[in-house]
Amino acid sequence: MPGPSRLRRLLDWIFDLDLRIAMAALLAMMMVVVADVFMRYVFNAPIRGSFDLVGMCLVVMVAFGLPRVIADRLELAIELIDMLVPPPVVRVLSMVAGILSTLVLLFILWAMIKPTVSAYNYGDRSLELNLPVWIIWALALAGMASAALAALAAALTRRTPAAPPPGAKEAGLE
Amino acid sequence: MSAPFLGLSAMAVMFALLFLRQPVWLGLALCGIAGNVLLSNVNVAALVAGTTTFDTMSSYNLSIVPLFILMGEVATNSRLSAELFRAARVILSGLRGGLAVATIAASGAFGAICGSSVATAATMTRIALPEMRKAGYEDGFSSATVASGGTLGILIPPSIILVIYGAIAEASVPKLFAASMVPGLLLLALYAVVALLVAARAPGKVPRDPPASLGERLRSLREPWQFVVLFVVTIGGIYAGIFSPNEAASIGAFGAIVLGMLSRRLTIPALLQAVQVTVITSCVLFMIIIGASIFAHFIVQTRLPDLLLGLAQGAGLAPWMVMLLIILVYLVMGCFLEGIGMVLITVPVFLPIVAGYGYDPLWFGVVVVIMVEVGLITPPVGMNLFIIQAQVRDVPISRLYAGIVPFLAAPLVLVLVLFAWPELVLWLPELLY
Repeated sequence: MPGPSRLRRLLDWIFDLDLRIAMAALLAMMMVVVADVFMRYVFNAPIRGSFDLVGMCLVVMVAFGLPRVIADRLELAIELIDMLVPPPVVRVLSMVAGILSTLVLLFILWAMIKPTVSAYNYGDRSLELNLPVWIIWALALAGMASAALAALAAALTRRTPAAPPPGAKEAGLE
Repeated sequence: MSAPFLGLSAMAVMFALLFLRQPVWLGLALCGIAGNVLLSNVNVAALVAGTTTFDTMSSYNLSIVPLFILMGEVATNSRLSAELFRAARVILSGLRGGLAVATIAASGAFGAICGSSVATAATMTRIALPEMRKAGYEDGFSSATVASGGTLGILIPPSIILVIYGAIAEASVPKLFAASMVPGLLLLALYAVVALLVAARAPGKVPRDPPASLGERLRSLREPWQFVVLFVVTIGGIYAGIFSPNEAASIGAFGAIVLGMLSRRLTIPALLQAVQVTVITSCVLFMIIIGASIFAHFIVQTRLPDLLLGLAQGAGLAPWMVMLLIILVYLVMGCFLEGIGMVLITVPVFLPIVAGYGYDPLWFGVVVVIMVEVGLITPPVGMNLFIIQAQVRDVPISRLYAGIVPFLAAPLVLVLVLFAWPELVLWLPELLY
């Protein structure tokens, strides 16, 4: 059984790996569309299945990007109360957020299992590439499981929100 | 408990959770799931939660969001905004307050290749604010100029908020981008007028820049050619019907990378950083969209929007009164909530009411974005103000609050103008599509 710090390092390694997969999916998504446009306008031969590929890349980008966001507590929250209550209360609220996040993510994870199994049983296929849809669901499940793990880790550690990667705060949500 | 009352209660609990520092996505998802359990049962709640999450994650239409964010990130790392500012500064030199107007113009131009307001404000804080301070501009005024100019990032297309609004309202993104262009330019002009008025009323706060020669002004126009290329290819491509928004976003992101690499301003580590920030920012957004979609499904099931529409019509409220009430709600919410959350929480409730009163969803989308912009610069939690203050710690937030007050008039005047002449919004989409 690994110790707490080794466990922490293992989890960080998993979430970093997830993030790299998400980054690769984003670049792949961009390149698929660029190649599709290029082939369409230059050779009048668009890439078959680009619609499916973009959807799949987006699933991977979101599902595998979530764990790092949750582990580092980069989610958007209104921090108005920080000015009104002492730091221990803020820490408690942060822990509550971690526990509730874990529960909600576990619920969503559980909720996604049935459609995945249905897609497998009924042999659903994607529109263009005729790929088994259950594979895409399974990718989403894997990312969500990692996200739930990240939420649990964030709830159980007393870490304050981590410093975001350079520029993340300014990257902006509005 | 009646369904609409359950919907209202869920909204109250959701706001309480947000106030208690719970993440926005969590407040929305938790109330949506709990509401669906109470309204129907666990199986229905699970079906909604599972399928909504997957549908959002795999939505082709929403793939525009990370791609436009990536284009903005790469443009930022390639220092395109610095070129824009330099050009605008030389062109407007000699004018009292010209540096402030140059900041607003450069922000608007940068907003045309970056769909994020906060990113625009953060970038211009690094580029324009030191120059204004060096030129002797008063701190509060210069910071407020950057904050208000930054809001143009979400109105001038491409706009991430408009993409998300389009997904909720089932409105065409190209039409929304066309609808927001004229109001975006009008707002830019209004901000510039405010800056010039402040400069004229308090010349001590705003010194005059030495004027550049005509040759210098003409030469400066050549500098931001990369920006022109990106804008013409992406937004021009959408307007001309050559690219879908998704294709334009991909080509724009790819083009920004190629231009940055060719000009040796974008290194591989900087590109990777831009990709990482894009993934993280996009995931934060997608979490909120997932939570809001689950919540919106529940709210629609409660028929709360129908009840509110019936109440308004029963009370004999005129359409403009209803819109005024909605705008007041946005004004109040904007003081405490961030923009995306505000849009995702309110649009499913307000849009059926507004549409019931005959307002065009495109027009309403533009008005909502303008109200979000007001929220971005409204104390106490105007996000742009905090972004600037985080970067220039020696400027007290109180000075920023004081400086921003005159600029708040611009978006509010614009809303009045759009009320009087809705064709300013609807003209371009009707012309193009």
